[in-house]
Amino acid sequence: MVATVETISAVEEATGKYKYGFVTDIESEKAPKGLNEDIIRFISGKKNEPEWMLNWRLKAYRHWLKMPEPNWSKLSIAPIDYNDIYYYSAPKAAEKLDSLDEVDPELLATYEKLGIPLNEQKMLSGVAVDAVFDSVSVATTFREELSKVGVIFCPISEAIQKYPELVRKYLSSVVPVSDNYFSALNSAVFTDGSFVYVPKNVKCPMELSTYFRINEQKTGQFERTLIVVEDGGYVSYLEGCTAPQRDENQLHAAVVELVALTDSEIKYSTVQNWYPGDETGKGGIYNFVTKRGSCRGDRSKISWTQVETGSAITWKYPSCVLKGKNSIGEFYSVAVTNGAQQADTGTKMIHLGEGSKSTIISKGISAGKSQNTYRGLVEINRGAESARNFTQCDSLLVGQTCGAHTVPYIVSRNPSGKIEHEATTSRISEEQLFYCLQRGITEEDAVSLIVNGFCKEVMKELPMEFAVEAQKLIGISLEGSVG
Amino acid sequence: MLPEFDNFEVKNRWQKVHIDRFLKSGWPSSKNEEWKFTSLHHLVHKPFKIGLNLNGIVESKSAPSIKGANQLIFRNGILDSQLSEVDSDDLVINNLLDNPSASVFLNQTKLKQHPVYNLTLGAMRSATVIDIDNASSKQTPLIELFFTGGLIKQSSHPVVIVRLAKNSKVNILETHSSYNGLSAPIIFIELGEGSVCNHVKCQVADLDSIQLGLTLINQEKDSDYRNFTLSSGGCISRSELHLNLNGEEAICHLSAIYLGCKQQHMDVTSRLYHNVANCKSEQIIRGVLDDRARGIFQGKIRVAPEAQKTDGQQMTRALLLSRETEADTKPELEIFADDVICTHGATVGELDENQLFYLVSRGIPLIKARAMLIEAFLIDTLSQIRAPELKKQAEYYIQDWVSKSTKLSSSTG
Amino acid sequence: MDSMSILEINELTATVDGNEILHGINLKINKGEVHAIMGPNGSGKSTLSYVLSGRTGYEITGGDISLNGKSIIDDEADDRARAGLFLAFQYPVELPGVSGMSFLRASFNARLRENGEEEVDHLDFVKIVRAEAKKLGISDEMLKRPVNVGFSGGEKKRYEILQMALLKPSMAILDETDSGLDVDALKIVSEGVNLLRHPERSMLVITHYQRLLSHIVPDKVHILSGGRIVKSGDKSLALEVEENGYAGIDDAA
Repeated sequence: MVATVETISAVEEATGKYKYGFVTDIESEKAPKGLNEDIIRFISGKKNEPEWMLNWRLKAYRHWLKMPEPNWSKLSIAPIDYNDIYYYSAPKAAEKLDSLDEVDPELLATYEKLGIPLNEQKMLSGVAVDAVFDSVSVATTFREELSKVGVIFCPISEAIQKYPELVRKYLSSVVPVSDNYFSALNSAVFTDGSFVYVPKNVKCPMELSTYFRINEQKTGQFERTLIVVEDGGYVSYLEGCTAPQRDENQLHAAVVELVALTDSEIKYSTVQNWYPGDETGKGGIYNFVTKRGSCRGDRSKISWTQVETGSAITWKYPSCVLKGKNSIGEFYSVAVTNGAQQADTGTKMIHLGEGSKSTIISKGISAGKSQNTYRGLVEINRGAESARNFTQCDSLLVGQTCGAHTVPYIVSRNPSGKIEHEATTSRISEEQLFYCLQRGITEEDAVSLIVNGFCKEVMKELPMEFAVEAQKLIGISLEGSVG
Repeated sequence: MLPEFDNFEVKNRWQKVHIDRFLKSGWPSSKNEEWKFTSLHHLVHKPFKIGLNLNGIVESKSAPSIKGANQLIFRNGILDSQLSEVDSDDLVINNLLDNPSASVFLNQTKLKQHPVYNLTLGAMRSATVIDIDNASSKQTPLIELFFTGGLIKQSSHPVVIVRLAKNSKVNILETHSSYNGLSAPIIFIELGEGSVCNHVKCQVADLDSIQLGLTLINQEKDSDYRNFTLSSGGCISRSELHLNLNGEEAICHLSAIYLGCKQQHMDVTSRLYHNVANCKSEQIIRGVLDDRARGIFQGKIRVAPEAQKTDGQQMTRALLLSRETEADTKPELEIFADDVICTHGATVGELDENQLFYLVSRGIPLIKARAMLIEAFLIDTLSQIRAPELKKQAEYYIQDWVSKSTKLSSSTG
Repeated sequence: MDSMSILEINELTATVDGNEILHGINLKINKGEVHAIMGPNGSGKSTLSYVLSGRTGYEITGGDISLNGKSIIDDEADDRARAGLFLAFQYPVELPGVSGMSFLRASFNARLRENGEEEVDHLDFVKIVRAEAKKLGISDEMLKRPVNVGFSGGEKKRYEILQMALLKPSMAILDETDSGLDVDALKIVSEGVNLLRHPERSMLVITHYQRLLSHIVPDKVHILSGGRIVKSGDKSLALEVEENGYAGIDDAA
């Protein structure tokens, strides 16, 4: 049992359709709207960054300016005005905190409402939490206990100053700055995020968790997460996201990089519940995220699990580059779309190492007028002798105005590699629904029950406390989709 | 490089529109999602001249000929009426280009930007229309469409339209034989209500040629269309099929195999549109690749919001025989109706060592054992074709390819 | 209205896909009584069970059904279920991935909520289920599986009876509970049903064969044929059907 459990009831009691739609009334410090080199210098200055970091950002910015904005076939998207966004917003009281006592009580209350008590005494057991509010990290818990075993868990802004050699070595080593439009943008303007370092042969004794929240209006959130696990190490990392209900679209463009060295394992779980906009498609978060893990060492393993229920538009492909011999990549995903949401999500499994294995289980549920696309790439390259992939993509349609799409790309360059891909699309059968109704279960509960059953294979990969939350979220997300 | 249109005169004025569209877009590059794996922009190096007459050698094909077939022979993309022989009274043959309504008939809005569609409609010298109205006839006529040519720098653009009236039936054998240049045929089949068509296409052209075939199918209510396509010829081959299910209770079975060796680039692309309710589609695709060949399968099934109770199945498997091959697969589902069953599956792998060993342990030589397993891998694609004489042709080409391929690979070690 | 009656069906007509299947059914079941409906294939037996339980697609075109004195024809299927109507399915439906325990608890708590009672938590519920399951010879392992997935025919039927035991309906309809069961399984299931016979619970046993009725002995037997009840009698009527088949009865009617 861990921290989130005690507040689940509080979450349930929260009001409105989108349960996290409240706005925290807190004074914040913002950089002027818009993006130019001065803003980047401002951000870098605010963070007391060393020269190399500033140059790195500026290089990324100059590169970004030259890149065309991506144009996707399946997403219909209102143009984004990159000069109408605040790239830096920080709660005023939240700089340099030595203990939680100094955190603005309003902020603590916000996280409490979200189901994330930051108060260490209150926690039932160990989940270390890093809370990122708009652009900056406001609190990281359990740091002392972690440091005893040598695990570093801190805001990345702090890591840049305290562990520059680690950050320089690994930052952008998985996702190059120029990888895509949003990774370049993120590199230029990221303001915070989490840094995790697990030394050799250390199994991180508790789950690490970051909660992201966008609070300010017209604010973009550009966090950067870097997780490095040395030989034989292990870490399980959880990420949760929410944002208040606002009429305009807000941009979230994060970059997450994972590095797994020999015999190490990283488990990365996400429950994403950014505000999806209203039924007509007004408002909501644009979630354009680049997540990639590099299984560099032999027998290393990276496992992505995601439950995506929020955001107006999701564009996200957590990927694994399987370099190490017998390395393992896994992707477990549930994506629920309702209303006018659009999700385009999936994974890339790039097999380079001999005997590397990957598993992809994707469950897409579309309701309302939403469009839900799985897009994935499995690539077995010449050197990936005896590599294996298994992919299962299932889509479920609820109602007659939504769409479910499956777009897998399968590239095989090694005959000893074995790739299996299966996909199905179906709906909740009238039979199943009637069976539940006949037992007195209401239609909405029945749909939630059946949908959660459909997602079972993915849900069981989530840490227990996250799974409970995710199950409820799926139910909430589908509210009003039947009848 | 684009084909040369110097001194080219179109037969009908409206063809000019298609040529202009083609010249404007040019050969597609990999930036075009539909051509992601087959970038003609990079692959086509030669400029071709449009075939304007029947010059050149006529190659005889190697497969056994079929008795009683109505043979239409096309040379350089043009119907050679001297060599052609039509016996059946069920068939009425015309040239659509003599008919002013042709532009309307051929105007497919979905294909407006399609390079092969535009090029061929622009460059065609004739459009052969075969009308079949034989509901009361007991016999199913067999049409053999035989395409050949013989000039290295020439391109061919035959267009054949087969229209089946209500409850009519026909078997079609389409063979693309020796060709040195570029061949971009369009075969358009319209299946009227309750009509039945078995269609076997064997693209077994020269390994030097470029083969860009486009098959367009429209199906009305209760019609039944079964297609088998074999592609083993061409240095670049793309066999593309678009099928519209426009009437309820229509059924289609599509099977395709691509067989690649040396440096061949073999692309099989299908677009299946379930536009109305209660239709069934089944697709089976098999690929065998040897040497440095690259094989591609892209298959999209689109289910329109109205197309409830759709049953769409697709299965693709690729077999890689050499270490330097590449198989790219993109099976795609685009679904807008909720009460449907749609599945696709894809596998890529090599010959099963256990199976091979099992056969060898029974005293079967390795070459033979490999051939047996490859044939077994391919042969069930023919199961839905209900015309034994068509099946035989396809089997002949499968066996021919497999025996050549296994001999070659055993001699090179 | 007779205060003793639990289920009362008056001049009920119903259509499926626009075809009238039930042509005016009249039936009254009193508290604690077990009635059997027998009939040949296509007589409307399963249709009747779906019409009573409110499945979509089964449209009532005339007449009335009342449960405990209240008309239920305008109620949704889940409302009827919570009001005490239970249908043991001829073909119980598989719910892949849905854990048996959460399904059972959802229906159990829905009933409690309806009655204004407090819901039970997971741990207490497990105890309740285990106790009932034991009586029916249902193993813990089976309870852990997803609903009806991978169950044998006999297991599925026992699972239906387990649900009946948990939900304690005032009116239970058993739709061809004997179908697909061998002699041993039939015995176990019938014993389960007999355990649930109760002065406060009425049952309607729908079956094609007499053999079930020698295990679950009914108070009254009705013969359904061509969408009408053509004959009613006591348990001896079932034996008569066994002897002469439905043809003879039809003629008599």
